Amino acid sequence: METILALAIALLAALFISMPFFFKSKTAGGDEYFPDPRAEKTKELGSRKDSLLTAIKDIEFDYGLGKLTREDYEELHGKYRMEAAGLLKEIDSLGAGASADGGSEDIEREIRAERGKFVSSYDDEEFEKEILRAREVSWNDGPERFCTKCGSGCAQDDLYCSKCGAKLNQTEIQNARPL
Amino acid sequence: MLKGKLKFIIAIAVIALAVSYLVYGGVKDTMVYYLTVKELKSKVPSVYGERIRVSGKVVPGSIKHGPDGSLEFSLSDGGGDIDVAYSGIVPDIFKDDVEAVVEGQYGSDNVFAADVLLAKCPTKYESTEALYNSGTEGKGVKTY
Amino acid sequence: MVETGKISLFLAFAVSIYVVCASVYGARAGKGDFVKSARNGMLAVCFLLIIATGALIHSLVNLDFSLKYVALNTSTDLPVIYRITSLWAGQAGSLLLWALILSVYSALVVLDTRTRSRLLMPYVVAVLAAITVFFTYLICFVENPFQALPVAAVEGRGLNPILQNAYMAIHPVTLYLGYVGVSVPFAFGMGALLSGQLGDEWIKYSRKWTLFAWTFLSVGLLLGARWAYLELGWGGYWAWDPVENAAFMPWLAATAFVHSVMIQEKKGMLKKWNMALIILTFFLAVFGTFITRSGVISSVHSFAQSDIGPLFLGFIAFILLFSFAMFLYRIRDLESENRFDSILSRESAFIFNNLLFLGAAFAVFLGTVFPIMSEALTGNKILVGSPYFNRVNVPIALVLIFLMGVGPLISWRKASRENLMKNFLVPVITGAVTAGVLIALGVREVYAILSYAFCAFVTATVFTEFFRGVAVRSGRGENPALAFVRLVSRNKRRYGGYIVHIGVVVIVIGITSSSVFVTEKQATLTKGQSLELGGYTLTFQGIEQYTTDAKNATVAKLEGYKNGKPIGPVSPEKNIYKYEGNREINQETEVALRSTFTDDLYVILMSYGEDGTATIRVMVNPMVSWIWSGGVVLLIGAIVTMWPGGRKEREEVFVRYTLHDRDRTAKV
Repeated sequence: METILALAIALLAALFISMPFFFKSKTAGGDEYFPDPRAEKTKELGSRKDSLLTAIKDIEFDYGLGKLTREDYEELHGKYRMEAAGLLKEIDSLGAGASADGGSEDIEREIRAERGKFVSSYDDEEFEKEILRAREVSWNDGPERFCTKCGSGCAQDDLYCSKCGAKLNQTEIQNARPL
Repeated sequence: MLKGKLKFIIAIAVIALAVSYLVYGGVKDTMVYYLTVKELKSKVPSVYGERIRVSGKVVPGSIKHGPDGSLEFSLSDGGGDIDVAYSGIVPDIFKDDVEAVVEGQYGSDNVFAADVLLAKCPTKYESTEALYNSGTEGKGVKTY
Repeated sequence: MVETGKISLFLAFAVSIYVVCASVYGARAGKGDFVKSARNGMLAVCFLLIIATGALIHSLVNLDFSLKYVALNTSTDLPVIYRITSLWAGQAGSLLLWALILSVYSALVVLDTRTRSRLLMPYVVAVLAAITVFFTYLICFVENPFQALPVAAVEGRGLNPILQNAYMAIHPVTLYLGYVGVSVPFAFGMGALLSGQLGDEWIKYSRKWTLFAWTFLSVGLLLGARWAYLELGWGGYWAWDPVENAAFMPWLAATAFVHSVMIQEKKGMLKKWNMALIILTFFLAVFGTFITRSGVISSVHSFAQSDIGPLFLGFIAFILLFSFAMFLYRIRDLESENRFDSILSRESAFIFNNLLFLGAAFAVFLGTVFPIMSEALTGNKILVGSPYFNRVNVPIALVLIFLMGVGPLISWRKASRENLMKNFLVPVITGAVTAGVLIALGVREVYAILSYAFCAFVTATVFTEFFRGVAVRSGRGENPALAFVRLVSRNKRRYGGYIVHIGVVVIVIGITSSSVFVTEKQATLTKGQSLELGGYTLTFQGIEQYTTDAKNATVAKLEGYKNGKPIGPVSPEKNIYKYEGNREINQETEVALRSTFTDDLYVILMSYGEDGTATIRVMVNPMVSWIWSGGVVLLIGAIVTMWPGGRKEREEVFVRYTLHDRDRTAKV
């Protein structure tokens, strides 16, 4: 009785393991399991490019906050841009039909697109941003500023509200939290 | 850039040095020789007053409990035995014939004054003989 | 059932070999059906090992004394629950449990990555299967739990009474879940090396496994400490015993890894370091199992030794050689995408954190293997004891606690003076005030003052973070409680991590207090006499004896008072278990423990005399309960961090160092 049980288990395992050989995919040409290696490569390059773009944004951000000297900024910015442009070229040469000349213009476009990406994104991003600002701008520096139009927080030196885009006039700025 | 790198190397070196210093100092100040009873006997008198750790089997029948919780017993490993005086927490598995480890000083009165007492289960804990035989014969004492 | 179990074990061994071959062949030859078959094989191994374990548990519960393992670890009077837990009381059962957990993890990995990372996964599966091959080999051919006795025993020897404890029932499993959990990120790392897919994928998919393993290692260590505290009866919870160190070392390395992967995610740096670190962590986990199970280093916990020692050493050597060979082979592909720009930055805080964790792991490793090394090198066996470990690890731990406060708030890449001032002013003041108050109160122990001050510093940084987050959200009209919940659930990883840090702080406070300010006293009392210690008074009422089915107990009856107020009876016991000859360990000291928020009263009955006197040792351990409560906080934090869902997980690419210029958005 027990031998039969053990045999049944063995048989079951064997069947299960050999299943993929019996039910081969019907798709013609190429293996269904493995994707196009070129696509994988493009994906990987894309991820590296993204990380460079965010680094560029970050440098711009720090420069804007006065955390970087002009020389540092220019050096880092130039360096990352060069690398990103190189990557872009590589991606283009992988993709069929794309222009082989992915120069600095392409990278400028990408950076611009990256900058614009979050403007329309949803509320949580706003919260994240404000938390960051709370870290960057101390409460000891005096009261926080808030946009009179939409009520979102602004940095001391902001000229425009980062959420709704309203102009922040000195006289319109409230120094107290809006209700 | 180069200056930054140098700073890193210095910081990392400082950490590595600090850890090495701690390790070195720790080893130097806290190391104890681990001897068997036989080795201890052979090193008399140079071991007098040194802090050492000794392992051996508790001689059956040698355990004497003092009134205040102190303990006297003998340790043996076939190459002689030593008397041990100990005061402190006694492990639950400590009894005749177990392998015990003591740490302390071997005095010139040939009594080992221990302040650490550890006991280990004999090897036969994983042997099958005990299942059939309630005697104390084991497979032998484990060596480290 | 025994036959079924045996056959399932053997099949599991055979199938894992097949999985290794099929997976590697399928990946190299680009044959998808082989890869799929290997994945099914991994699931089958899990199924087979579940059956084998089920069969063994069945034998244990039904006390089939014809099996050696059952006869050695159970007895007819053993409650059913401990019959089940004796699955991991002995060598063979523990190894089976290792293999079972590994196969369950492997199956989950296979199911979780059905459609993802198709170039990477075949190799990950192959590595997991290769580890399974080793363990199933041990179980099948060296330490088979289904090995029969020549003649069935009439009665089993029973379970060691110190293992008959609720903590001992779960502590080993918890620790094993952690040890084995480390194999998964290791397999991903090796898979990345073997396949050449050295991008973010292996980090991304193994992340939650790393956290999972880390959590179980942490909880396992704490449970072990609690078990030692309650059961071993010497008044402490950690003795730097080799077996404790064996679990502590992979924890240290895993903690370093959990932190350093963040740098790779955010900045694409430290790729080589992370790879080396996960190899090291896995090595330490296997080494830990080896120390525990081989008895190579003498320890009060080493329950067994057998022939598996050399095999384990061979396996460990193979892992190290193979992994580092692969590592060197791929080293050119592990170049960093970013550089270190400043020493005052989050990256460097993480680097220092990592170096210190590794320094501690190295020191613990050295101390643990010192007897073996010194004997091999000089012929003398030299030991280093707890003072060594404390001397080395306490300063390292203090710096680490300090960094725990710095790390989460300092800027990425380069911290400006502004950033430092604004984020750290309040915490630094909090820490300094704490230190000042302690000194004013008369505390003179430098380490204690530093430890409390750093803990206050970390707590202040974490609370500042929570406060800011909640303030921002509730400023928009959310009520504070809701704002808090939303804040945490929107970025579980960050805030869960903070909660873990708070748990660690609470644990550190408990450890500091209980190790620096412990007091103890020992006295032999006659009836009516009292003993006083730390505000407690214990009056001896006499010795009582009672008998249950399992034991003869001797109780010292004491009346306790705290600052004059009665706190009820305190009754430490000494028990003799009733087994005739067939049990090695039959004595057990049952401490009387009265645990409160501020201190623990820990009473041990040392001995009792014929004349009705009793020698008792009393300890007052301040704030020990903080260690256990801190553990609960840590667990909650870890669960928050790992809680599934959220948009972060769906993102294909890690958002590295995202700081947005116009929006000033940052994800950290």
